[in-house]
Amino acid sequence: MTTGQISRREFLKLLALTSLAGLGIQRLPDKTGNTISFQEKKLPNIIIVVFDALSAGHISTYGYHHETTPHLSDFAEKSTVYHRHYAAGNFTMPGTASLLTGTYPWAHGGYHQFGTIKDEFQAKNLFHLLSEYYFTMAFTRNPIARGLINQFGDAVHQFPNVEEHSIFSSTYSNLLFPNDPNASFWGEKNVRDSFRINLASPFVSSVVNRWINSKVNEETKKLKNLFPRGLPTNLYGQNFILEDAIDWIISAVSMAPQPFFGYFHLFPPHFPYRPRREFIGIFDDGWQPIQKPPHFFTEGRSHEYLIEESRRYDEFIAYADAEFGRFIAELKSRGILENTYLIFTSDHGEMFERGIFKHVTPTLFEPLIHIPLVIHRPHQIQRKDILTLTSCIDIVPTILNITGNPIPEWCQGEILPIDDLETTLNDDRGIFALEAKTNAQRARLTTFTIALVKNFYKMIHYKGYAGYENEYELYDLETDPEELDNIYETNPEIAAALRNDLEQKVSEVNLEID
Amino acid sequence: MNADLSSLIWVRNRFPEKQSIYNLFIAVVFPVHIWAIIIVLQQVPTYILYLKASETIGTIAYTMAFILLECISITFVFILIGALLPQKLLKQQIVAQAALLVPLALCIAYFIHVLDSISFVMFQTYIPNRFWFGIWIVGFIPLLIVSYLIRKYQRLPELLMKYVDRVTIVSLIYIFGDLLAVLVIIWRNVFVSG
Repeated sequence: MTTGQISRREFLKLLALTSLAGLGIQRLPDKTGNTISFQEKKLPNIIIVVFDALSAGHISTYGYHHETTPHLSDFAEKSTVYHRHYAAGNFTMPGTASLLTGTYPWAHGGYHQFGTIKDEFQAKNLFHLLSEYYFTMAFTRNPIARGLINQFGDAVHQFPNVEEHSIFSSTYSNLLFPNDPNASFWGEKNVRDSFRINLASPFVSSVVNRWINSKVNEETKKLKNLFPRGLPTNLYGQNFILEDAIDWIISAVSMAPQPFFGYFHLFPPHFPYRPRREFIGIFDDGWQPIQKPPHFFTEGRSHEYLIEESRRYDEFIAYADAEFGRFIAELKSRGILENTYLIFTSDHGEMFERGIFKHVTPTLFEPLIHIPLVIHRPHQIQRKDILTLTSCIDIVPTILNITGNPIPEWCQGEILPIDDLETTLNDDRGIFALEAKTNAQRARLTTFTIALVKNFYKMIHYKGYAGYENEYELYDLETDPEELDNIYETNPEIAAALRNDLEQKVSEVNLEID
Repeated sequence: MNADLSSLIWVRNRFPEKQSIYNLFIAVVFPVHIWAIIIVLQQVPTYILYLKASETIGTIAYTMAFILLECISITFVFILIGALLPQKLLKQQIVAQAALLVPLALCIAYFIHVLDSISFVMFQTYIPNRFWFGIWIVGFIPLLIVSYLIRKYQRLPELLMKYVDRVTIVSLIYIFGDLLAVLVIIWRNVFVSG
């Protein structure tokens, strides 16, 4: 588990920087090893911890049947818990890009699996906004989030190569071409991508896969006792353990010049669900969630299959939660939390119902977009619960508010209330989520799913899909949180009002594109 | 001294002449590139959906540079196998045999990749190594058949050599494109940092 430690080179670099901090001036290395200078300001540190694909509906802190997150619950006792928090999309790109830019997917343009955000947003994001006064760092093993953060360029002062912090890595584009990460990543995918049937180079893929098999088997054997279901993997060539990532983050935040901003996007509990041994079987209690009828976008998964996968997902969450607990304990013991805002959230959820598994789907049901948000303020001593609707786009303005920065005009979110920092959220505000993987980027929205949550009503509009050109669903989340009863036909007034809001939003977006 | 010289000559004789290596490379480049270009062209509409033009060019450049590397590797493997096997089996007609065997090997590699891909999606692991070896061994039984046919029917190697001749120009264009791709990669990494 030593691979997760900060490297000697990084340590020496940071040591030199820390000594300069004593002079009131900090010199920070950018990604190319050059240094940048700024006057020290007394500002709080900011840490964002993102657990990938973590659905609020599977978190015991949010009332889930299985006790999946005891450590998060402890942490929440002295934090602000946002009960109705939403992701801006149902997979990493829109969820993460919206979180880091404070804008909806149609604004930043990142709504494709491995897409890019608009050029202008390479400078309109949290890293850029904070990099003048903050030491900024990021960590992720999610290749989509990695591609996104790479676009922020030198505003990210420390962004370690994921290959260096993996048990085993079989991707090389990042290591060989650090100055051209996106194109080289795509080039590598073209010649060897296990998910793609049509490969440009089946020869090399075939040979390299054998080598990967041998190495992974070797490493899996070594850790078989700890991880009986196999080593966790990001499915893009890296096998890793969460413990290493947590170790690296603890080292990094301990040695970083203050104030720092850290964005730590951890892969678990994203599929495949491979927890440590002690978490396997902890939820074998026979409990079953409600069986929901198959959706018209069903993948045909059986209820039994989904229950089994859901149980495994819960185990993986419990494993991630245990590591989160260790992380918090370390931060406390090192005194880092004394001057740090810690934001716990996710980029999107995960689904085990209606015949749909995981999150690659055109639907936007609650399990996919209702995500956790817990914010701890330094010296916060009691829990606060926020029941108003909030969105991931609110995090940027909230952080800017904390750090005394003005909120830019392009930012679409609102400032969140944290503990005793009171702000008034607009109760009537509509929260949107978009799924538009199959729509051309930077083009009019023609094939997409959009959800609008307003008060307790949620409308989902499926537009432009073959066979489903114009479908609407309307749910009353107050009386029907499981989204079982589509009231679109039976509540024409509410349906018309929300439909009008949605159509107006899409028209605005398309007008801007035109 | 004489013994050394004769063993050197023996080793030298195991390997093809320069002209044969060149023709062999052409025989490898053509089918490998045809395959790669079809796949890349299939991907371009997807890239246009969500990559910038410069990134699309970069992605194609990385792919084609890698394909050049793959062609060099396959050529090397052929030369090596030719040196190890009895000369009449492969080395004597190495270009003609490569012209037939490379497309065959492409099919086998693709078949294995499909199996790997299905296995990865379902079980997050590739097919076991013994299956991989088994498929290649079974797949290369045609090596013996092809070798036999080429030795038995003189017309066949003549036809295959004509085919290699005819694809030479287009293969050289592919190689030129690959070298351009290498330049694009160098340019992107040295001059367009970040």
